[in-house]
Amino acid sequence: MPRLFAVDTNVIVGGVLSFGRPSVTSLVLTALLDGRVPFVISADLLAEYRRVLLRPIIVERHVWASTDIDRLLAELTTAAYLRQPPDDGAPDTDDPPPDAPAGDEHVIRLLAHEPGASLVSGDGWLLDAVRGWRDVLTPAELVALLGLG
Amino acid sequence: MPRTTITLSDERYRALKQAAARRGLTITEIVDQALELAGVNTRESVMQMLAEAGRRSGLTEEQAMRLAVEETRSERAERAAERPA
Repeated sequence: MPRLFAVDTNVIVGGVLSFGRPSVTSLVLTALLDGRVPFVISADLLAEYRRVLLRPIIVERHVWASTDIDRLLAELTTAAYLRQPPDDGAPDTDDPPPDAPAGDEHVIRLLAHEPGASLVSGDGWLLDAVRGWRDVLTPAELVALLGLG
Repeated sequence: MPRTTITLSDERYRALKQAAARRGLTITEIVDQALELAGVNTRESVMQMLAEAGRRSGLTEEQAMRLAVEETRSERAERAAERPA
């Protein structure tokens, strides 16, 4: 099994908004679509990709219709390893999850379900919370690690 | 443009012809639309869509990432606040 990654929503959205410019998130998004970065995704995380891409301030920038967003998500889903972590499983006492910021529970659930996956995020708050429990990377570190530049 | 052959039931083929006639489209156009709706996109069209989005946003990498982090964080805070205590 190759090393797996869980890609946070901010990386996808940052990649969309800076696509085609010199940008590490654009490189990551292209590599995800190309299948060069093996990544896991859950239904909850995929739904969040969609919700954030549909937030008014984000729509103002990409000017996509919801069908365009769905086309991108369909492409991403094709490339991803789908996982279905339990909604509210009891925490594993041998591997207790960290106290993450409120609202990040779906990311934590995915990482708990897939302990070998590394979190890729641009959110320092979440990276700090997860570091030590799971491997974490910034988008720039992922680009350097996999030679995506 | 490549050509292909597909096998349909008589019933499905009749429905396809009727749908094309009703909408004033060719069978090829109906099939193309159905594939689009099924999420069968050409890779080029998705990359083109992304390139247009990046150009339209007018954001630098740093600005794009800051906005993406802020909006993801806001989305999560709003969802957390909506949840029953």
